[in-house]
Amino acid sequence: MSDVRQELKKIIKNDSPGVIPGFGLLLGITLTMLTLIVLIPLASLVIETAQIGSLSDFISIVTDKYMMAGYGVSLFCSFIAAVVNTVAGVIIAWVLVRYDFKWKSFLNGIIELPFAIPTAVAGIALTSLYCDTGWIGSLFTKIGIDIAYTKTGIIIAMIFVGIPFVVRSVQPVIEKFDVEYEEAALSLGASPASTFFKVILPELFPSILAGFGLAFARGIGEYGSVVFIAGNIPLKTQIAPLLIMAQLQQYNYAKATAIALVLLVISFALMLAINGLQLYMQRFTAGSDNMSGISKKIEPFDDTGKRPAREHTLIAVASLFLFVMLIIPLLVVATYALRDGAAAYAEAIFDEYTLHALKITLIATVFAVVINTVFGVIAAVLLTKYTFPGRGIIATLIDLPFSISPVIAGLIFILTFGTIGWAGPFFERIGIKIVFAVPGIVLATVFVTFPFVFREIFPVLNAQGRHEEEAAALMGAGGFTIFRKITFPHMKWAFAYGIVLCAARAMGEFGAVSVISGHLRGKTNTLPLHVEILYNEFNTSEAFAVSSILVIMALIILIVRNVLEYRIKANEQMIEEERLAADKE
Amino acid sequence: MDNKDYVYLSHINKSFNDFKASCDVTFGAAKGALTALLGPSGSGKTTLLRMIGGLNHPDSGEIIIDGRVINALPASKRGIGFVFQNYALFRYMTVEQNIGFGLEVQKKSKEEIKKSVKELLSIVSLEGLEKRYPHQLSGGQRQRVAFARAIANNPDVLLLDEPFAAIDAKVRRELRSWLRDIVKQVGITSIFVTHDQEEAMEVADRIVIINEGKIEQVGTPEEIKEHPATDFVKDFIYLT
Repeated sequence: MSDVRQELKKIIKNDSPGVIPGFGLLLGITLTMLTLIVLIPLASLVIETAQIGSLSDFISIVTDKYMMAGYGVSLFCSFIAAVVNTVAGVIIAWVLVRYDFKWKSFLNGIIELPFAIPTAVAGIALTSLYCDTGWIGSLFTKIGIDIAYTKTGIIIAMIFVGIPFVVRSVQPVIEKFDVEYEEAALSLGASPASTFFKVILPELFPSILAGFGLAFARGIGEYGSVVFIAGNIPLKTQIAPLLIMAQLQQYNYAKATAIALVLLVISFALMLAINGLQLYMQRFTAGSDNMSGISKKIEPFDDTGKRPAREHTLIAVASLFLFVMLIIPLLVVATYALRDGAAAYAEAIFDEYTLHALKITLIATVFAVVINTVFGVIAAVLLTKYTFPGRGIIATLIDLPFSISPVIAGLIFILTFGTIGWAGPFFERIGIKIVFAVPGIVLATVFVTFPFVFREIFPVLNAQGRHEEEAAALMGAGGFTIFRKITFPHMKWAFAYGIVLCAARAMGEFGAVSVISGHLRGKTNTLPLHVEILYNEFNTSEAFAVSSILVIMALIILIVRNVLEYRIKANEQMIEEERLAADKE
Repeated sequence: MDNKDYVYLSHINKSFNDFKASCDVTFGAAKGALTALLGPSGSGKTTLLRMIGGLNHPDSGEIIIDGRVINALPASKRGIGFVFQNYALFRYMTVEQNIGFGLEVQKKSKEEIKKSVKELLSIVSLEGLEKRYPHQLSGGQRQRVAFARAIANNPDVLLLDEPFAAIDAKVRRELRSWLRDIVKQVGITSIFVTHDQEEAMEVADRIVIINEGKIEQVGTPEEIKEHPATDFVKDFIYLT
């Protein structure tokens, strides 16, 4: 036994990253992939910016009145949308955790719909819904309010894409919330309402802030869902990503880059501010996290078993909100797709361009899933099972694609591999076409979905710790054996879930692919791009018919996700119960 | 019913799904005195305490305080102070805001609250710590803030759930006698839960021994020591 301890002491003294074998390999692969897929393309942005010339040129580009209006529209609408999502999200999360009602699992299951549905599909569905002949739009037009092609429409689209962020950010915190705080407040005479605002809300604030920040950042960079409903009226409803797109279509790469840079700086400043605030608030919770360890539920005061009016209202508000924001757009897709009859529907689906677009979408998806899964697993293991300086930086870099607008993601690949890109000529010489061709689409898709699998696996492995692997290593097990027998079983459900999310996002990717694809029908169109073309040509029911393919895939993904989540939770609960039982002995 | 019993539980039954937490429990706590609910883990003593406080509800039986049956009264209206096992201090509020919370609920004026908080802090010997946050306090200090917060509203009854469980052994002895002195000084009817028989013997005026949801014996520390009513009491007192 003392030999083992001496061994450990030696290792720790040597500042080695850890006992588990494989560090060098994992680090190498992680850094290589990170550099190739994320860092080098991002560097192109910097290179291109440097070529703009003087600072005054830069400033004059980014402050012309259309740009300023564009930032204004994006920031304003995104902010309002994030605020709405924050209020709605807290209510929804509260209702899902604290109350029981018949359709609760259903509501819980559809929260991720905005992640699973391609942004372009959401875009045309929302536009059709809120334009003056749409189901909801027509109601408002009667009283003189226009929604589509105004800032209101943009806000609604941004609310749609941001729904999951606050809900999923706050939900786990409410779940683990120690009921004793509420009981203490009650014993001191506070009403349920003032208990919520004075005691519970401060505890939820960090997670609310995180969700708000994500929703806000996402709204600023969002392209696909917003661009259709915005109408792109200059100075009124042009969002910043659209401005970038417009410059790209005119091959004004310098201008596009300049706007992109400003947008990135704004997003990063935002994330920094929010992260800083969160770090500050962590002080207050030092030494008293989840004190009793078990989450109890408060027993209702009224033993008659009736639900107080307050609960009814909240459940109704949450349900109505989700129904209007999520379910109705789905119904729009289904209805409009079949509007011209079943025959026309089949024709649209089996049209050669549709099938070709489907093929390209699937190719890009498979590549994205395979590459990002391999990376996600390797990087997650690297960052959780070893200690070395720079872990935090690597984690932040991995997350970069998540917070970058998809249009900017497309832009950086043009700046790298396009004819004006620094790597462009090289690939031209060896005859590989990247931009405006399928490889470009694949690369852009890989970039955009890069962090997805990692983000799912990392927290699971982090919570698990590394003791088991270290024990195995000390017994002489090799790296791969340790992974196969110890690490993987812990993460298998998160692994599956990450793959599912990555696939969903890859299939639906629109903004980045739109920039890099060239929109050549039958050659470089993905399914979402094909939808856009059909819609812009006023082939509305065909557009919705093709969309329905993506929606059906999205719904399958949601169902799979719910099954997996159920398994993950059941697994966690089993482990927790075993631990408690062992403690009691 | 004993006239001197300020708090009285009469034939209380409580089940959680299939688990019977309290089985026909009847006992009383005298006014101004310290009553201990003593028993092993899982015996149901905390459940009883929580039912007195209104945080759980009995399936049958009556909870009587000062002659009134209060079963239907919600926790926020019972005027009972509760000190939780892990203190449950509001993490994002200062000591002053924590202690003044109940007074604020009663819409007392700012000056009144400030004055009361100052007095309470001196009662628990924590003068000057108004602006500290809970994460800046030691375990013993947090416990005393929790205590001050619970008595700030001048409650008629004070309930304490394993008040010394989270404290290291050394500090525990001092805090025990401190609690006894304070309660006598303030004159409040207090009921506390503990699994430590030494603690109950030292601190309480009356001990209610509970096992598996049923009362084994009620009496003063001397009575229980000299005349244990059941085998369980004998084993519990002498073997633990």
